[in-house]
Amino acid sequence: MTKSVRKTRLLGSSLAFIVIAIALVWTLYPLLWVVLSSFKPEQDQFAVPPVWLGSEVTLANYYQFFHNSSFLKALVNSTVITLSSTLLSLALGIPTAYGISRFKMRHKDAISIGVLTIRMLPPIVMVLPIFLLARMFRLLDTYTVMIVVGAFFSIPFVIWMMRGFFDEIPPELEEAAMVDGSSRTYAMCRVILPLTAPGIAATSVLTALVVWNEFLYALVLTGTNTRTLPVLVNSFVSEKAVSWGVMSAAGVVTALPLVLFALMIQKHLIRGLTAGSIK
Amino acid sequence: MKSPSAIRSRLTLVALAVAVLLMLTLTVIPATATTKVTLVSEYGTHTEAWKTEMDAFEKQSGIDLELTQIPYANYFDQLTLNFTGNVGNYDVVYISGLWYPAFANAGYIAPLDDLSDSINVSDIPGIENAYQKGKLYIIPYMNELGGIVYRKDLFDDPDEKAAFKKKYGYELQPPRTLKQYQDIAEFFNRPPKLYGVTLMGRRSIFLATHFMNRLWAHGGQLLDSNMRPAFNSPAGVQALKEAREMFKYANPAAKNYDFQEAVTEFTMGRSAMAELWTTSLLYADDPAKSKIVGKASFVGFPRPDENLGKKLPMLYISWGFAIAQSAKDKDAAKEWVKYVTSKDAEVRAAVHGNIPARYSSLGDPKLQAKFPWLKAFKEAMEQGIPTPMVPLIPEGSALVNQYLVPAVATFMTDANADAKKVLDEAANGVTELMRAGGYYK
Amino acid sequence: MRISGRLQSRALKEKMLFLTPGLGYLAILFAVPLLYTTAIALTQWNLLRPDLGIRWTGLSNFLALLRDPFTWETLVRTLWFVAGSVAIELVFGMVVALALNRDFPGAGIVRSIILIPFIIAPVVVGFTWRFLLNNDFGPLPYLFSALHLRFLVDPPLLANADLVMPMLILVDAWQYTPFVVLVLLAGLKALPHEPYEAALVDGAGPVQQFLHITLPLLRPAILVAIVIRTMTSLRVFDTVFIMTGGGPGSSSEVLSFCGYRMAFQSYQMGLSAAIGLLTLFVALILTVFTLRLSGGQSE
Repeated sequence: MTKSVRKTRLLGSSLAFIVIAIALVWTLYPLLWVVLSSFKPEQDQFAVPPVWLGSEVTLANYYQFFHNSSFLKALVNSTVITLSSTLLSLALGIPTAYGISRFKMRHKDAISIGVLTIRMLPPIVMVLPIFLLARMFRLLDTYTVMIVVGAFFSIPFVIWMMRGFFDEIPPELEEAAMVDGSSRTYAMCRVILPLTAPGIAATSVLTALVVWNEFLYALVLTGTNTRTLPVLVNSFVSEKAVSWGVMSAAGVVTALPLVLFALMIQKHLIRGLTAGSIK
Repeated sequence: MKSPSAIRSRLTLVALAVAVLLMLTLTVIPATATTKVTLVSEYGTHTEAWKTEMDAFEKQSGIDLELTQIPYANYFDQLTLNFTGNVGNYDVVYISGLWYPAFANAGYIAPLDDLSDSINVSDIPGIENAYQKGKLYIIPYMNELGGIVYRKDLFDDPDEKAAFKKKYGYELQPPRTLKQYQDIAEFFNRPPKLYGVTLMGRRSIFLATHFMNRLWAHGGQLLDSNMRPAFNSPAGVQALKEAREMFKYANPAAKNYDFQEAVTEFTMGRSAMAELWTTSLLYADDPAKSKIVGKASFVGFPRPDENLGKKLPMLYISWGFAIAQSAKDKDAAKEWVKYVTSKDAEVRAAVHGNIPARYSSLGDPKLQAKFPWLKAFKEAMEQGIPTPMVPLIPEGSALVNQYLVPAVATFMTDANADAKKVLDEAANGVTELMRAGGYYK
Repeated sequence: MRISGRLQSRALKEKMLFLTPGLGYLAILFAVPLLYTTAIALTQWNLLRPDLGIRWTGLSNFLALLRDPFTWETLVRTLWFVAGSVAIELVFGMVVALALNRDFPGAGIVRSIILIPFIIAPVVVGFTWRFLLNNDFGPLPYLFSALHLRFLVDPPLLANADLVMPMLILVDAWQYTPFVVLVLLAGLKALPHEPYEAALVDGAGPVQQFLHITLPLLRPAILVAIVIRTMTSLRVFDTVFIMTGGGPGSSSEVLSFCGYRMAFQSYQMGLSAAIGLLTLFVALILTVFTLRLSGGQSE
């Protein structure tokens, strides 16, 4: 290896190191600020100049958050809506993904494009008619409408992600089972699904992430009974009287569970997000 | 190996179980035995005040109250969404007097005429603003007026008085005329420690109040009796120019103030006057937030010399209780409204931070002892025509927020703007708006 | 081989069994609201004026929108937002992905950390940045003042008509650059080694390698990132809603916010539906445009 090559290697490494350092600071600065604020006592929130660490580390903000009935209710609402939507979209999306992966069809491209269209649809187009329809059927401020809508916009993720997992499994496996005379449904449930269990887990996390973070539909379709965490967080942002510490705690509680889950499946995340075009 | 059909039926069973579970979670609605009335309001001093009456009412009536509070910035949107979506979360709504006409017109709130005797409407100033098409829809709970809050201690200071007299040739006293108002603002403008006046320059309805105050003082109005825009009159042009002129004696940062920031500047003792409304006195008298406790007072908005003594419109802000058309138990809801708007309850709650609506409450000696400025307030209320800052029609808010505010903001920020032209443009927009609303044949 | 009719119908039944529930669900929830909103767009309907009823007005909502200069301003502002954020995210994302595309101790942890902003609810992102940028006690304005950059925060960043859109783009970049990194990194990992070895023999430097080997080979991944980010940044709503509410004035009003405001603040159902359809139209054009860019690149 020549000297100059080694020199460029070294230069490349140090450049990479600098880039990574900047990226880390850029990413962590806002996150740390909110996380640390959630442990700061009230009086330190307004310190000038701003302080990173308060005079003491306190759990008071979290205590207040968990003892506030509207926060707690929103936490429950978000959980119910997220879990139900995820279940529904898996139940509807997995067979579809399996079908697209296995069956020979003339309109496969059309179906793919249709699913892509739905994934790309700007929510602002749909939120008004869905609001008016839900109003007509008296479904506003119910879990039902949120679950139905949540499943609607997360099924495309399920289809993309699961289709990739099904494609990886050789069709001979269930064909062998089907030769025994069992139906395809049976073969899929008994043979294929267990093999894709990790894929299903990853898909559920992605679906849950999408539903949990959703804001526009929730803002319009929920009421006092079904308000989700993002809507609640929003409703306190503009309030001067509300404590930034409690808000930060609310932000951390809203973000943390999904961050942990999503990081666990990050290597699968990309498939669901890019229509399987990148693995 | 089990047969496929057995598997399928087992799957169906599982699916059914999941569905049943889902349905159960959806239908768990707490059963209530006692009568419950749901209230909704914002977070604000007057709500905090009437909240203190809830326990006593529950004990006395056996009716359960449940209050939801939504931050002001989102309150109107959320409430309207709840109404237009026919969700019916709330029985009693505590709302601004500016909002109720739209709700009343759309049938979201119920007429309350059967209450008018038992609550003695003649005791409530500005009650004429609570009627739509002859029907009473809202019971005012808090009333306030726009005008000047000022620093009594500065105005009474002998040295200041002497210096002022020397410079301007007349006694320093709370401004009665526009000329005095400007002189005093100039006199006290000593940046950066003290500014002559606090104004609200952010592009918002608050900025528009500075224009409206002057429009009315000059005898102008927003809409004429044919519902045609009238604010582009000579009085309007004059008012717009004077409003811009006044910013010379304000903190440069005031160009970005809204109500909260303006109140903070005044209560921190950084301005001699503030063009606000009476609620700011509650902030000024709050030892936790204010450095000028007991030092602030109020005077109605000044006029040009020729209009002194006339009964002119004055900026009037009112909040009150209305009952949703969807309320399950309207009688129980009315019980609460009657209770909380009674004179005794008003006076009891007022000390927690409210300016009560009733003349009788304002005249209460104990309350006047606690808030000495109430006397000046009551006088101003008796002398002006309480006029909401937004015309009480469904289009009122759009008229001010979508047309007037941008016009005033443009004139404030663009030194080359022509006052007549920006007002004419806004007036054209308003004409279109009113036409679409079906006001012109 | 001849397949009997019975078998064929069984296969068809099977297909239906698997495909119908999911695709049917999507189709119904897609078509019904879309048709309904198209019908609404042809009416004048104010939810706050039920006394006026619903009136058919034909295409007048669309004509009014097309005639209103505000619509065009909003459209241009939205496109600027899309172009700005996608460009920044692509450049940042490429730089970070290249830096991360090597083995070093802690690489996994670093990758995870960098991914976090992308996973957080946009509402929390908006709140976080509002907090950071708060002029009274936020750390960033303080930092700017300390660095003698006071002009940046006076008026406050989010109340400054000239700087509010760049700020929103920056926040978007903070949140979505990780996604681009993720996509490009996956692309980089899949690159073959041979061309690089050949380049080394030819004595090509790292810059030439990047321009002549990495970039062309990475083209599919780059295009995927562009297409998806274009579509998702077009729908930006949450951060605008929370950080600026479209303000100051209307200097940060983007299409989706405009549609929301028309529907749920002004209650003009017809106009809002028309804005929604306009947004959809723009989305379609952008999709076709970005797919054209890829020049027949597909799976």
